[in-house]
Amino acid sequence: MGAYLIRRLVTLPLLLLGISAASFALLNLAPGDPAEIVLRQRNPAQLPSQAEVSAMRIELGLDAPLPVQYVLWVSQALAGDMGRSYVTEQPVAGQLASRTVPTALLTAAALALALLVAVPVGILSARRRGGPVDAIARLAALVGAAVPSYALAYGLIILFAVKLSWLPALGYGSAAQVVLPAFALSLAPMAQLMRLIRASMLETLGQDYIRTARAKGLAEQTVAFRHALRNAMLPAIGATGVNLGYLLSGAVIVETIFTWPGLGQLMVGAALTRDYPVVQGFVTYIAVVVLLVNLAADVALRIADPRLRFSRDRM
Amino acid sequence: MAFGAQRSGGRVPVTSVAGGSRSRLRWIALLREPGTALGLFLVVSLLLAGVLAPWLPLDDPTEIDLPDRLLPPSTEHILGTDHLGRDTFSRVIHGARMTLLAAAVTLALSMTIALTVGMLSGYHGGWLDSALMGVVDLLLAFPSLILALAVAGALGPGLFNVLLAAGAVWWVGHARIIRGVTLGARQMEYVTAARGAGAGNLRIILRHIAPNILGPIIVIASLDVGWIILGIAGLSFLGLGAQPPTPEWGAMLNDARPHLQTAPRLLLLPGAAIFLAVLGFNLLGDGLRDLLDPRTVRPGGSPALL
Amino acid sequence: MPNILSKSLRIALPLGLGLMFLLAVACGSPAANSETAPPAAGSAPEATAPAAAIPQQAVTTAIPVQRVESSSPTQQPAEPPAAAVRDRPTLKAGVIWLDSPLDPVEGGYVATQSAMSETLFRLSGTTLSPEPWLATEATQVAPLVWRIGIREGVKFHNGNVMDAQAVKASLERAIRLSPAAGDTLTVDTITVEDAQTITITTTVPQPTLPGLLILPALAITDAAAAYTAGEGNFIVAGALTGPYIPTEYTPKKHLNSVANDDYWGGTPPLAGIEHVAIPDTNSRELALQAGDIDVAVNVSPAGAQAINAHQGTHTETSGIGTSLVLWWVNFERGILADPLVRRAVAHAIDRESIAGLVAPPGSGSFAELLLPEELVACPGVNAPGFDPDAARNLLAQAGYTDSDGDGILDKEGQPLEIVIGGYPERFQLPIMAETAQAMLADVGIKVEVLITEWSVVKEPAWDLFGWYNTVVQGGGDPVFNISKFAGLRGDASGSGTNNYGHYDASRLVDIITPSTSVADLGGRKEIACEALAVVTEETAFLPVAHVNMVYGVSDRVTDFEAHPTSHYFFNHRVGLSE
Repeated sequence: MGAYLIRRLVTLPLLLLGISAASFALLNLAPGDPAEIVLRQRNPAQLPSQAEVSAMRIELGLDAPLPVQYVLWVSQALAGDMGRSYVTEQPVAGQLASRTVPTALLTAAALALALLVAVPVGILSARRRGGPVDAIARLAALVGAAVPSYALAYGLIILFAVKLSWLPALGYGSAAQVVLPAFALSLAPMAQLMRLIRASMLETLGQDYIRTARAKGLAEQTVAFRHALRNAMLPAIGATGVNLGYLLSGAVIVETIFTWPGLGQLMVGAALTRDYPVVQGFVTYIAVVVLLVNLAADVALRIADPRLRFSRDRM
Repeated sequence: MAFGAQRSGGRVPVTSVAGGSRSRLRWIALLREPGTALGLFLVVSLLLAGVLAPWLPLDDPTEIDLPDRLLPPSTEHILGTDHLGRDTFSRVIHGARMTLLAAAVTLALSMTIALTVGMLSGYHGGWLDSALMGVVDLLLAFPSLILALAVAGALGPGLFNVLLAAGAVWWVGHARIIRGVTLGARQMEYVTAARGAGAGNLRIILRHIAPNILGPIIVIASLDVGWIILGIAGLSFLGLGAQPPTPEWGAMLNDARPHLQTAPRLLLLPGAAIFLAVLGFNLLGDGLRDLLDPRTVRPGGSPALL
Repeated sequence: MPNILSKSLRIALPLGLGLMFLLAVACGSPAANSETAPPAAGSAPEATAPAAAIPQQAVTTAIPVQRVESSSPTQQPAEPPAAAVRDRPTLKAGVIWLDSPLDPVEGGYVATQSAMSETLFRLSGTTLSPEPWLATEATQVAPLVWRIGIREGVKFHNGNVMDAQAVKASLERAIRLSPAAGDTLTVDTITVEDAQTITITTTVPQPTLPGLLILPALAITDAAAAYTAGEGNFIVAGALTGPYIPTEYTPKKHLNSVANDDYWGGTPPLAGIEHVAIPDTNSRELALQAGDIDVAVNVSPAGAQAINAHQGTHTETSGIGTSLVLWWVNFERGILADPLVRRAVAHAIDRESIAGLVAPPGSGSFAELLLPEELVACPGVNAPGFDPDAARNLLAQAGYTDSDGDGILDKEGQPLEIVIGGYPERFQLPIMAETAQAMLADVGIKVEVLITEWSVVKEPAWDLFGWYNTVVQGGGDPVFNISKFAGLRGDASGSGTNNYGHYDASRLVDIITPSTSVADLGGRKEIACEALAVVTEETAFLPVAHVNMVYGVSDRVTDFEAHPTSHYFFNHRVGLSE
């Protein structure tokens, strides 16, 4: 366990370095001269002259060799300075920070909702394998995984906000406003988690130690919950990283529809205007978050699953 | 196989090597499962619609006709017309073509990269393996849709750019699986024997390793198409993918938003088309997985693009 | 690991992971707490405010003025709401942008829209002529001199009295801090005659001075208080006069106000107004129907249909349309620099039909060119009509043929391909782009549609760019309007900020220059019409329609005025019944 942790912690900075290099490369692969973009945004009435562009290149530090620029960008990013948006000229780090909480709230709510539904349904479905509950749950999971969130979101708004007036249609600020976007976002991961838990539950129920437990005379209920549940939960935890990536991706669309002032909206706007510093900062930020959460999930998994504690991590 | 792979790839690659030949009966068994049969039916319909669209007696999907806008379904326009008077039925059918094309391009691109990286890594092993898997680990930290968005942001909106972006980010999870299968196959006795008999690397890869990879690839591919369709339609919905007047389902959904209440069918039709296409590929993928890869424990565990 | 611990962990893990993620994300940024959302300084996307054109250098270096978050301790409500206020309802409004600072001199059209600031004159909602507001009258006593009466009994939100001295100080501050406003007014001196009278002497004749005084940048502020409060504290200064007092402003998100019970026009019937920025038209319409908001500004024809069918909501439409949707034409990219191609494009697009799609019935047609007939009619100057054959001929004259038979014209191996841009917040623009795409395809021009953020207008990425613009800023001076649309000046700025297409207006300058010595309105109209003829001939831009303002309104809203401009969404009369 200790060795594993140490190995992970040692590779972490390497991965972070790689992530920053990848993001940096992305920005520099993009067509267009940032110096010219900034000048045009500042004064659209006048075409920037060659001299102005050169001066701006120096001001933005674009005249330095790429490796120097990269080192500078990384060192500034470490100090919390991720540059400024070409369009609004606001600091990127500040924009990311102010939009983090709404996105975190939304994704956490969606994840919680997905787990709350998927775990009991998945277990029930596995225990009543082949029964009507199982059939319905599997069908629901199939449907849930195939419904596009962007179409679902509008259905939810029309039904619950416009027709029934139970919930607000959109916006950010109150608890009621979280419900619809969180549901729209959670449906697909919910379906996935449900299938995952059902499958691993089925697998566990067929394993030797469960049979042994049964033979010992414990009630089936207890067996299922003491032994199977624990093992069934493991893949769910293991999938947290994937689900996080999924939720963050989905949030991009759901936030746009529900005018949720989160990172997704920021990213879509930046991608549409090719506001590279924001795109770059956002991608780096998300990658770091996903990486850290994955690490946390892995560690948690190892704590929860004694079988993994001593296994060598081959991949 | 360590557990770490699960979080990263989203599914546990099965390192066991499937037998070389399978009974034909098993393929027929595929159709006995009603879900799989439905999936096959949906996929075949989609393929037919997509391939035949230009030769079907349909209106031009891009021809606008302002006086005839927002018409309800009639004999002339069986699904009515959209906000610019274009025939909705024709646009949905042509949308199938765009969707299939997009999925095929993404899949081809990502599979090529995944196969190259995965097989090189698994077969060569050593430092190359470590290096390539390091890159894979790195890219796994970027959620694919977000990376696709970033690439689209760098290259500018457009279906081609989105396909490029999706293809470029989609291979990562697959490379791992292919590496695992390759690794398993390489250690089989007959491979060792072939190598002992002086067979070249290329020959070993083609003769002994490739057949083992085929099964998993078919499964991954069919399970993936659904996600790719959802993802690309999502990017188009955001205005980053297909541009007007391209009849693409995600873009149609976006166009239909103002008419959500006055002509909801404009939203429902492309939405239903996406749903059925994704459902079809998912069902078929499930069936194929059960058939080709019965020991895979992770159903539908594809890392979602969307 | 002890068994008990692992057992509880198993249960706590799913929840714990959720929390962990929350924490990881919240703390992930090295600067997580160092910055709150700053406003997008100078990002007012549309020409709704003259002072949007403050020099850009100033914008980029200035510290954002409105940095108001609920967490910020320095920005408390200017005045505690009176006890009586609590019984009154609060109105919620959904608007598009909410991105300009509140201080009028920084492009503060938001403050005028939301009934927080007031100008000396206001545009009438029915005749569009300037009528006294904080002024009581205006008289032109000499060609260069105007005498203006100042309303008695007006107090700033901080309690200070607004007298002639305060008005003078306010105008001088505006001229100093917003050169755009200064350029428009061309003020030489401002003199205080008595407590309720000032005279303004201009350097060139301004026959429509009251019309210029409607500009939101010239809203009257308590200059001394604004100065004392310093940057970033405009709300605290209480320097405005309107029926509603701003209490909290997070640009691009929300703006809250409470009633000004000392308002000179009477006690407002609302406790306050909460504005929310909802950039997407469709979302605003849905929010209104869901009851999230009581007023939705700018709704689409389809949305209007749904809103009128929905129980409890309806639409209110202004009688005339002053907002012009148009396409800027890009002279920089080459293809449309050819006048023949520009005219061909103008003939190939059926703008009358497009107007029918994007403007509610009764809106002005493109044939009225720049200005609704109410403001200026130029007999003999007509927009190029829809005539595809003429377009084809012009393109042939320009040397374009379909040499490879692919349906797209080409010249010297280059296909005739243009990009039509627009931004999605104005629902008109994507529809315009897509219909024009199909119409231009008919004459052999290939079009790529680029719907993106408005700031892309500043990049050389388009040939036509859709724009939604408020016309009447000149308050009726036709020369002002023409110059603005010809790109000679931004909104009242003189800096040409709106010349996104880099149109070379040298011919126009020759025509307009003499106007500085022409004082009578008739003479200025003549100059304007002459200029309009040139602009039309050169196809400097393509107008599409004058759009009437359509507001979605809850049935509970009382005394709502559907003003035809984007200057005044609310006033002191609007209320909300229970």
